[in-house]
Amino acid sequence: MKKLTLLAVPAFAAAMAMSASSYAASSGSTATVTIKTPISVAEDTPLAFGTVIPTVATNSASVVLDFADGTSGSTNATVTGATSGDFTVSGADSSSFVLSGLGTVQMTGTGTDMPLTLTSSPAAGTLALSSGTLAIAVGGTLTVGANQASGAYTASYDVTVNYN
Amino acid sequence: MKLNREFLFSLSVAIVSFHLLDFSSSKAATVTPTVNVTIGAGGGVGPTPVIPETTTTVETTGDANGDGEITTTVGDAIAVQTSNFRAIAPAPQAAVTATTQAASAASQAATADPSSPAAAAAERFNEGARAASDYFGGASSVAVSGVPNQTYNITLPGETSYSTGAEIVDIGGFAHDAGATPQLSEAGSGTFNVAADVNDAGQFQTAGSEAGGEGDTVGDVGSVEQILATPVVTRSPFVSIIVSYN
Repeated sequence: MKKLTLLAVPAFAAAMAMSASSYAASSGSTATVTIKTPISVAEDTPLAFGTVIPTVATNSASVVLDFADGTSGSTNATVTGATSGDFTVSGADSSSFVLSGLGTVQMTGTGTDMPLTLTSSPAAGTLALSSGTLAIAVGGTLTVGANQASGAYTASYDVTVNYN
Repeated sequence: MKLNREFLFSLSVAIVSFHLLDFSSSKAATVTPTVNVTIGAGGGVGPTPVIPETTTTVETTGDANGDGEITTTVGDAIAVQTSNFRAIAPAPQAAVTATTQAASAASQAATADPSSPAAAAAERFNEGARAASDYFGGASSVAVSGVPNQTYNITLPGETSYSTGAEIVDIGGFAHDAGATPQLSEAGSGTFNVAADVNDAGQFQTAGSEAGGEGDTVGDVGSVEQILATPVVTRSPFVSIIVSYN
């Protein structure tokens, strides 16, 4: 007795034209793919608070750095050499994205840590690229403690952009 | 037995469409820059910086050196240069009323007979009225001088009164037009006007009888001459206005 052998073939592995049209069907199809420009963010001008000199050593001080290199609200302190941070976001034109990061960081150095609360213009949130780019300015408020030890202080902060 | 072998294949081809994204590098990006600050020596180490004093050119409190004058480091004391308080407006109401009545009477008499003595008297009245107006001026003007651009205070008198011999005249409600913060000019000068309310406490006695119409006598019109001869207010007494630096 001859054995009937069935050859099992995965359905998606091959295409075969059948003479009997009722056992198979085929249709033309189109495969499309869209390549999207990667989003990126680059620092153009570093954020810097320059040199801060408290007027009265025993009092705390606060320095507000705006988005145009200007300092205000510098109670009990003189500030020189402060510059706002400038960034450029690049990506697919008219795409929306989310700006995040910033927040509050601690500046560390020779003395007690000093909190720095960062802000941006435009503010963090959902934004849109125009002609494939968007400029972001970063400023913030630095709080100098009473009897803050003189010297250099530094902190790192994140600027994150994410297509949504 | 013939065995038919039939191979059935079903195949479907689907339209495939997809977006290619490199999730590892193109959907998001982060930079991590650093921010620096230098705390200067004045921040707690070393002496406190000395803030230079603001120089002043005006004594801020009255007569600081007790010499009777408010002086300044620049020089000039503030002073009232001129004033003309001899004329205080408005004229006493009684005088205004009397002269109005007299003018009406004279006008009526002149209309009745332009060639009559009444007409001549009316003309004299008009001249006298103009002269009388010299007794009743507008607001008095005051000129002051002192430190350029310095603000100053004006202290006006309260109510006062005086007798003309015929009546008591009250003067009060003094007011000036220098504003809330008077200030000398760059040349150190300034002017302002002072006005007051004049209240006639007495009754002005009209000399003569009521005149008007045909047949008026000189005597009636003569009442106008009597009014002019005895003005209600010849001149007001001097009043004190104090100006001082503030």
